[in-house]
Amino acid sequence: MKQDLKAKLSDLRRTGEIQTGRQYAEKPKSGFKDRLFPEEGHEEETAFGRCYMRELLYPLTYQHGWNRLSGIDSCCGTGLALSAHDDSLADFNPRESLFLDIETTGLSGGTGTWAFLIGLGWLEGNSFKLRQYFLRRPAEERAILSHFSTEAERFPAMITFNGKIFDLPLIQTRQILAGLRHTVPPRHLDLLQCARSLWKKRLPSRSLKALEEALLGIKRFDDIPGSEIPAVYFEYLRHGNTEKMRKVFHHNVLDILSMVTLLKRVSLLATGEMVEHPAEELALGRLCINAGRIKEGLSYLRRASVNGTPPLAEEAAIELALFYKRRCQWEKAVSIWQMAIDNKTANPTFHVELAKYFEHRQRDYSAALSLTEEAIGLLKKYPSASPGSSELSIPALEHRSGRLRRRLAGATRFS
Amino acid sequence: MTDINEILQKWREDPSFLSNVTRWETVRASEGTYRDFPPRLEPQLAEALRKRGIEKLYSHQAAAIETIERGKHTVVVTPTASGKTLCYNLPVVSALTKDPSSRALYLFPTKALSQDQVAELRELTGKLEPDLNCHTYDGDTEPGLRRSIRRSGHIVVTNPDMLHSAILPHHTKWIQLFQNLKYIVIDEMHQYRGVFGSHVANVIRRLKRICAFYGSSPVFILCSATIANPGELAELLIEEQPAVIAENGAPQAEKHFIFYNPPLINPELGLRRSALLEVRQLAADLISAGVQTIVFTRSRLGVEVLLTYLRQNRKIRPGEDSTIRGYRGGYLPRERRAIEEGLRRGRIKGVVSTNALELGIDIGALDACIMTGYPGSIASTWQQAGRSGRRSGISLAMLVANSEPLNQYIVSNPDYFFDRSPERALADPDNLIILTNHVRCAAFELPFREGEHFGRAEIEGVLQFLEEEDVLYHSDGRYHWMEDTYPAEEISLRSATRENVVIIDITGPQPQVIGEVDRFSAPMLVHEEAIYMHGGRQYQVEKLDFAEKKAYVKKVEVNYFTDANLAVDLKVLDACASAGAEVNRAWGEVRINALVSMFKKIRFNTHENLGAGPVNLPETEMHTTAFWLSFKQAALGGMSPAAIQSGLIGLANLVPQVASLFLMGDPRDLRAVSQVKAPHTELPTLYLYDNFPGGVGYSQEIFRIYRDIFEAARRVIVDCPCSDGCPSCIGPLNQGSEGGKQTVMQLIEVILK
Repeated sequence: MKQDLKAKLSDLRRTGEIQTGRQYAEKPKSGFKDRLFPEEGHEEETAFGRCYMRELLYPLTYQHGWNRLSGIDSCCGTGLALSAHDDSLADFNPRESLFLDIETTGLSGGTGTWAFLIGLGWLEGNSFKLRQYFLRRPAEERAILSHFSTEAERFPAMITFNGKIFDLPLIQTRQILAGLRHTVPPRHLDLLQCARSLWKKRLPSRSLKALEEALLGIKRFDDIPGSEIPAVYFEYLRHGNTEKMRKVFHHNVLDILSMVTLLKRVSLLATGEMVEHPAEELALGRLCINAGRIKEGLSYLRRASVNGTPPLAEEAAIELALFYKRRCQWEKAVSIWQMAIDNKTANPTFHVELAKYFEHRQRDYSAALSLTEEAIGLLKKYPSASPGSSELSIPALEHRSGRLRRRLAGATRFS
Repeated sequence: MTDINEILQKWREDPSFLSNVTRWETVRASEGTYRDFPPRLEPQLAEALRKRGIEKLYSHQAAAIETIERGKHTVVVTPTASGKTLCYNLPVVSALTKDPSSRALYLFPTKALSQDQVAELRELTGKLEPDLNCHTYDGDTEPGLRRSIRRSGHIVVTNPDMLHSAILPHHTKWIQLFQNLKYIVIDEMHQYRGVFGSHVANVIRRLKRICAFYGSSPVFILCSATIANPGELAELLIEEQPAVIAENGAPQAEKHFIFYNPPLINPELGLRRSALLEVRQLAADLISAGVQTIVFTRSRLGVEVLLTYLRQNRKIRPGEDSTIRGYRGGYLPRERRAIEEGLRRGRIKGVVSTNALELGIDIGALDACIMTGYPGSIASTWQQAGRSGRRSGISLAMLVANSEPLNQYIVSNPDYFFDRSPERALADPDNLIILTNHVRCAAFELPFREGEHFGRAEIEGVLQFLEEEDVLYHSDGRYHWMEDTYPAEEISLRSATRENVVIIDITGPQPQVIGEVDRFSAPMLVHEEAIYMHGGRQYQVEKLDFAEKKAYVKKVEVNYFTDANLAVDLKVLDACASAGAEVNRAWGEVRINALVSMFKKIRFNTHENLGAGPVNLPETEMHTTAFWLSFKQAALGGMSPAAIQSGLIGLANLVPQVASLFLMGDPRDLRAVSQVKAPHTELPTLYLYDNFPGGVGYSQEIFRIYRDIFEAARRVIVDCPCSDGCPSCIGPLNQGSEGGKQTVMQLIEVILK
């Protein structure tokens, strides 16, 4: 009558008391496909055993989307430093940089997520060299990671896309688990951070795929969706399915090549050599001002406020006025606010800023009050146009108008 | 202002009051036993204590420090207000001050306790050199602080849930902690029993595995309220043999403990006056006389009702109602802090609370404590009672019983309470479902080697099962996690399975999750049209999507509650042990099939039936453990089948209640089923089963101590003044046939023969 453990567990799974994961298609298990890529794949010996890698060589003339890889040779450190908010990148040398992109068994992070494919790329003479370490079985992880560590140490800079949050910490976790020293690149350029600061206003999404389509002229065909990648690896491990696995390798190659052309695109924009859109002018204006490059910054903002369509142009004008306000250059600030109001702007920010000026600088409460009331009117008329800050809510404005009325009443009494 | 003495005097001279008192125990004031600071205690710390006016330690504090310094795992059993926290804070802070590279991890069952603890630690360590970083690390910790806590927190204070879901799965971010972990403090150990305890034992297995990986082997320090088996529970949790320190060297002020049974109003039916109404009177007497009083109730609803009553009381002068406050889960943290502060400073004269204030939140010393109904365990009762009388001076604790069998048993048998505690805290770390879930989590954290044990559990079979299920990948002698999920996220330490039904309030425009129930209770509690009670509010279930595990509810206000009819079928799968011939008792593994087919609407107070409705839900299936008793015909003599059935039903009503006294569980954690002709035995059989998938060890324990349980059951029936069965003993009269009490007694005699 004694149930054996396995039968018990199976019964518990049947009733739902124990849940396990997805089941993979039952296929006969075959041996390891050591020869995933007969041409490009090879093994190398390390202190911790053999590791498998695939290497590809691309001439710098290789055309990826609209661009050739050769562009990166002329990337400018100052521009990259500006867009990444990181001065240490100013002496960036593309020839000393390592591109990194990994494929993993999950996106949740934590110690149970593996990096089964580590893709690296770097410039070598007239070529771009791409290497993919592949984990054929878990036991080879130490070999791969140690080989990777040695390789990575040669480069003073690392370039990734979201690697500060995802790729690098995950590799470091794996290194710690494997009992190895973890890789800390002296410099790290995360292209996602650059993309966010440059294209937040221009593009609705800053995913690599969106950037490829909008800026780099790359349309992927037959690409494997990222969400399916873990399952492909599990199937490879359990059933030796190599066909889909090759697609993952290709996906990883494309990610790295796109980083190369994206890097060039970031550099071109950040140095002002290729500015295509008022939204980019606005972004550059902000970045330059933050970095203390005032003259350039103001000129970008001015251009954005002229070239942009209303919401963007107004945002640039607000930014510009804010700069003057902080420097107490009131005349310039006031003329920007006033001009927008004269042009019948729907954005109450201008009214509120001007009202604050009249209340606190000029002590002209009646002008301030009428501007505040206009702002309330705008908010009520176009509730969706509200910029959403707490200062620009109806209750906050009514609080202001109430105070102004009291001040006006007081002023009348004592005058 | 009246002195508490005057009230006690008044009561002592009041015959109608005394007629309800079943025991008036006066605990005499006693001197403490003191010892000098242990010689190895860090001198700065000794100095800090002297500055706070502490010249000597209680004997148990000194004993704890000495065993801990010798590197022994230690469990300290102490009553409330005996300086428990110093037992672990002194050795830990002393060691960390001497070697600031070492680390300590504190576990408390709740976030509120963690915060209190950190405040206390900072006070103790404030002037020490070097500075020790003490932080809470839980869901409320600011993201900006987390990094620095992971790297340089000397004492990290957290809860088991956070350890399980956030710290262990990310252990590589905690290298500093795990490499240098010297002490692990587990306070309120007795809370880790039942399902929660079974989970926590497995979380500790994972913790020890991670420590071993980083080369540390920390000393465990556990603290518990008084239970019968502190050493055993500690060993169950940490799988190491601990030293037990149970003597109490703290001084004791005079304390009056009154057991109060509300008067009978219908002896025939065993009906008593409501405990709540009695407490309303007693608490008003105390509070109006200026005696700072805490009143415990068993539900959040009880808090609100009693609070309203007390504020309405004419003895409470107008304008003073703000000096009486409620305290329960669901109040905002800021509000709670204000109440705690008000209690400490004496601004608040009375507080009505759920057991939220039972654990060590610092509210200072109160004069009196009233418990509305037995808190469910002797340990809880002592903890609640300990809320009064921390200082010198006379204090009062009072237990007002309600009509449930367990309450009646305690109030009629006070010796049970005042003698050595019979309560054994149980847990089953090897519950197959819980174990399997934690093996998943552990494999996520580090691969398992072939043949590796998980704590003391042999798990090769589980690993093989998980490999076949494509959860783990077996290669080169190791089992690796190979799934794209984060297992800890799906596993709650507070329920046995991963499958909970989420309760969603759709009253407002924004649907809100207000709670969850486990899958096996869902058909009972959240079938369509059920009234679900939450936070003292009633909700009606609009829709139960059983496949998606979601119940949609809307707020309502109605004068009834609902009670679902549960048909249970039980099949024995495996008998693990069996004994006795004529009355055979056994325990083993069973499968429960439960079907809810209908529900009744029952009016509050009168309990009259207001109608019924059907429930259309699939049967649920659960594997658990059960204890059973089957009666051979010879043993039963000439009892008629009808009498046997009535007797079994009576036992099924009574025994789970009484058993919970010994098992430290909630009576609902144990269910009874009776079968006049059981398929397994072909005989009249009474089953008691653990109401958790996989079981948590109750059945095995009942097998061991069945005599104690049935003797206690017999005493309940004998003591109950009703004529032939009532809700306080074997269930209401109409449920069985005539002579209900007598037939139940007959069965008990047969069992105990």
